[in-house]
Amino acid sequence: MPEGGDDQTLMELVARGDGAALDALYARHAPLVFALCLRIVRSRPEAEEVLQEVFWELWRSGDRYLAERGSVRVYLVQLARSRALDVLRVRRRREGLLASAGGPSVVAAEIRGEDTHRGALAAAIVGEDSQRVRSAMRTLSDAERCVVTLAYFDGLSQSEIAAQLGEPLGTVKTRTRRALLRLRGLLVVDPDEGGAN
Amino acid sequence: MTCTERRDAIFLLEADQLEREERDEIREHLESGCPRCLGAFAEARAAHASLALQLDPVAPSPLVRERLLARIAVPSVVSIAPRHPARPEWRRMALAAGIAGLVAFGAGRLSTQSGDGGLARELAVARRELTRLASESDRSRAVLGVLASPDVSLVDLSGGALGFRGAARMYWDYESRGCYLRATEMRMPQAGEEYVLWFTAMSGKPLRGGVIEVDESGEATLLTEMPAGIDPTAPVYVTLEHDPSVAAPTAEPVLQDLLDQT
Repeated sequence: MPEGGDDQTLMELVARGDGAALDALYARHAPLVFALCLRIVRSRPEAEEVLQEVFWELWRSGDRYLAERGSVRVYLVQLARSRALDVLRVRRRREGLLASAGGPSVVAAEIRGEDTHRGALAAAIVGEDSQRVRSAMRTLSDAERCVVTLAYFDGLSQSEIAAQLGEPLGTVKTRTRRALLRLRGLLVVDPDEGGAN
Repeated sequence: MTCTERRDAIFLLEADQLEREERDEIREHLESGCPRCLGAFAEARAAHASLALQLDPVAPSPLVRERLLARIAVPSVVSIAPRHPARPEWRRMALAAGIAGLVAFGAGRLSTQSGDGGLARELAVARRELTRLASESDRSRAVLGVLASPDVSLVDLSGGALGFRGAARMYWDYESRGCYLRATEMRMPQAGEEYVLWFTAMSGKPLRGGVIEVDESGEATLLTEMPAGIDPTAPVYVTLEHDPSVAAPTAEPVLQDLLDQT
């Protein structure tokens, strides 16, 4: 049955036009994909529009998914982030650069863990992977988390982050690289070392 | 640089944090097919994507699922512009009116035949079709808004000189910044790849125009708003990107021309 299949099996069924398999993938991944869209575009109607487009694209182009290039969750997250950032960039161009980037106060609240988008599902769905990512993020300084957040969730370039924070570009670049490499060490299992750092 | 040394750089590449020279070197190495670095690239993708996991999941409205399932239940004809010769507007309106009539008729029958599950399902399908048609109509109106503008300009993007078979025609309106692109004979991108449209700013900096989604027949359309501050005398071009979210092109153009042909 589609509900019980693993993601790879469900994707194979989706590629063959099985709507129940798409529904099963939606039930499994929509809450995370929606949370990401909502965090990026900061508008529930727009986030729902992007969410629907992401799964529609999965339906239309399911045969282009290659398991060896990443899991279905990774594929969906990348797709959702890309589409949501497109929406955000169009809005920024319309409303003025950085107007909807959240601003330092929002980012500061987020890096203190005061995410305003917490939902009822949170406690039930937060899994081991989430805990690992959150633990990794907690190893960063506030300043490091801030630049990673602005780059990942707001899609800002290094120069845009520097302008937003009022700091030199070189400082922001160095800080971002340092933070990302620390995250890499915590999130990627290095085959040469036999485990995460 | 050794493959071990490249591992950090590959993670930074995925996060779009490498300078152009280093990025090109890593991309070239990945394209050589090094299995170790391709493995590192897949790991980097997974790790970068996992940053989303710090968010608490949020339940979307049940209507999103309902709309999605309705959308996949009907033939895939929703696109910015029709892939086949346009259906006359009167036929579209007649179809919508017919469906609206069916909805009204069904509602009337439902009121007198409660418990008729078959009719209720038909009514639900008809409502979804009406919603879909309304959505398609909105997009078509937006396309027509660009095409019918008195200030609309036209540019043909060619890939011939670049060794690329595809071609695209782009209609754009500098005042409203509306832009409608229609491409043909485009090679289907591989998994994870997307065609991205780029404009050029007055400063010479590339400005992202949007992702061009190609269907199985090699055709594509894009309806988008052009970025502010573009240089109308500079090139507009399309690249095939491994990471569709990049803020600046990382590959050579496959289609291009000058935006202003006058």
